[in-house]
Amino acid sequence: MLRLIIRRLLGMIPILLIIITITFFLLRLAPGSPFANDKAFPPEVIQALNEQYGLDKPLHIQYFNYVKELMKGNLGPSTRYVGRSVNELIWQHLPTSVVLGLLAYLFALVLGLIIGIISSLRQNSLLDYVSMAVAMLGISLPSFVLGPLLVIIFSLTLFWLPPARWGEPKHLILPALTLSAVYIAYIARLTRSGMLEVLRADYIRTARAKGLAESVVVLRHALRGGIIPVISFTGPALTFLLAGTIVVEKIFAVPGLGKIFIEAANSRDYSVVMGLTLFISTVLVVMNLLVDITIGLLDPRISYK
Amino acid sequence: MSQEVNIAKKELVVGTSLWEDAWRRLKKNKLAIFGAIVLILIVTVSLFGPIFSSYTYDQINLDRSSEPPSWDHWFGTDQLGRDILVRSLIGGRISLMVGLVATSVSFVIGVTYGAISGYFGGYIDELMMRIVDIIYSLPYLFLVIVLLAFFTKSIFMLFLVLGAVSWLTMARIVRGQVLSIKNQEFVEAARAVGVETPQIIFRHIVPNTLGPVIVYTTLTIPSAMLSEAFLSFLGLGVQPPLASWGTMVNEGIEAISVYPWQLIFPGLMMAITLFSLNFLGDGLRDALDPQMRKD
Repeated sequence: MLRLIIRRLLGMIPILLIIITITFFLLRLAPGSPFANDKAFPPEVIQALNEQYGLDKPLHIQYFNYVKELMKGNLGPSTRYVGRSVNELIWQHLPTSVVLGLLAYLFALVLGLIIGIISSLRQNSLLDYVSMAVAMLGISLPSFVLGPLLVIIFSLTLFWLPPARWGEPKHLILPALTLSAVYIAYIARLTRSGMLEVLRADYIRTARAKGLAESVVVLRHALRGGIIPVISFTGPALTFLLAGTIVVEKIFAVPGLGKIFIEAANSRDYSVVMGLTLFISTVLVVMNLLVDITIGLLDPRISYK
Repeated sequence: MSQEVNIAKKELVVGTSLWEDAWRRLKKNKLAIFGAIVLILIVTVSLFGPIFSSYTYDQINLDRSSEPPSWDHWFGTDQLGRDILVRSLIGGRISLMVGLVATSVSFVIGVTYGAISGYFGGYIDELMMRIVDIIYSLPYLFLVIVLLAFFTKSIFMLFLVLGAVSWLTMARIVRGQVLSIKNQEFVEAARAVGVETPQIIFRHIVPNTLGPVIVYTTLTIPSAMLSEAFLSFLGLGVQPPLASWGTMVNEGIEAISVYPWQLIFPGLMMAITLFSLNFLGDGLRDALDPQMRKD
């Protein structure tokens, strides 16, 4: 197990390097450049700016410079926010996105698992049908519909939670719920099908025959095998929750990374886009490592030889 | 030719009892059959309905803009006075096509890729899964921008981008399932009697992963339809006057308090499709569950 972890952590370096390389050239291929958008600048000024940021050098030199700085942990300067480094920008907005993303992840896991397990235990009951229908609704409703809908229900009708505000913990609830809706639904449905598969397996019959309490059978024995599809799904899910917050950020006025990314993309702020892509892909690779460790621990039949 | 058919028939009788079994059980599931019938109905209506309409999807009539449903326009009209019924049907063609493409890609590539990765394990698995990680990590917004810059806008590009992402999570889910299945007794037994590796993977292991695969597929379709609306908004894919359910819903939301029918009808068509798919998917899942074959 330890060897697996060490090997995978070392393996991250070439993976991230490949991602950086592809992203670097993909960005340069896209039409537009950092200063071309500002029409007010005369060509000499743009020339000077390009020189200042090293954007006048040949592409491969720029690439090697970027990688060299990256090795030192420097993500480079932002061209949109003059005088600020990408490290600074990311650190400033990261906590918000991480807190929101993790809370949404927690909602998705807890609610999704509970709904999925109950549905599987009461297969084809009214409760099952209703929860699965609600889950389908959760997937089909885009967040720009669901967000305002939740605000109307919880803030403007019930007065339980404040609408778009940021600062206190309770301001997190509605955006996190909006963000997690799709994932609650995914996890509920995957849990249900995984559990249904396992609940009829021989080892569950054995567990029941031994006279174990139903809760022990379900939670200790069935869940272990039944949630493997769910676990496989949670790696990519957390990544999307951290990265895919732009719409929710807009609805609830959350100062997160999504807005920074879109602005950077629109103004061709190369180093900011690179920095954020690097951050997201690191999370993804680490999450998938955790996923592999978890399913190995959950299911004794799995071995990574 | 006739010989080929004979062979195929023979195989169907002898070998593929899984599918026959599944079909027999699916027929008993009323909700699933109902879902299937509704789906067929929606596909038929989307394909042939517009032929019988006296309007076309791009026929603008500003004198009759944003009219509520009436005998002339069953679903009402949009801001430009276009018939929402015809637009919903034409939009259905696109949205259904998007669902079909995303599903087939995730089914064919995702399942095959995941099964191979999980079965062989070790370095092959590691390499294959890291490739998935890399594809996952690319900033798609830029891929779209680059594609738009170098190629002409077309629906084909939309399918390409949707196809590129739709199989990734499927591959990971199947791979996880295969990892836990491949060491079970029935696989060992198959190996012991000398069944060839591709046969073991696709005849013995993959059918046992179909439960999560089908459920994940029914989840892929709505998310593909929503991604299509977003990509169309970015300029890749469906461009006005053409519409899809996703783009119609997006536009309808802006007018929800004044002209609710502009949201309700395309939204309803999409919702009915998704729910039918859902029922059919659950029925298929139950029907294909090998554990249930005893009854």
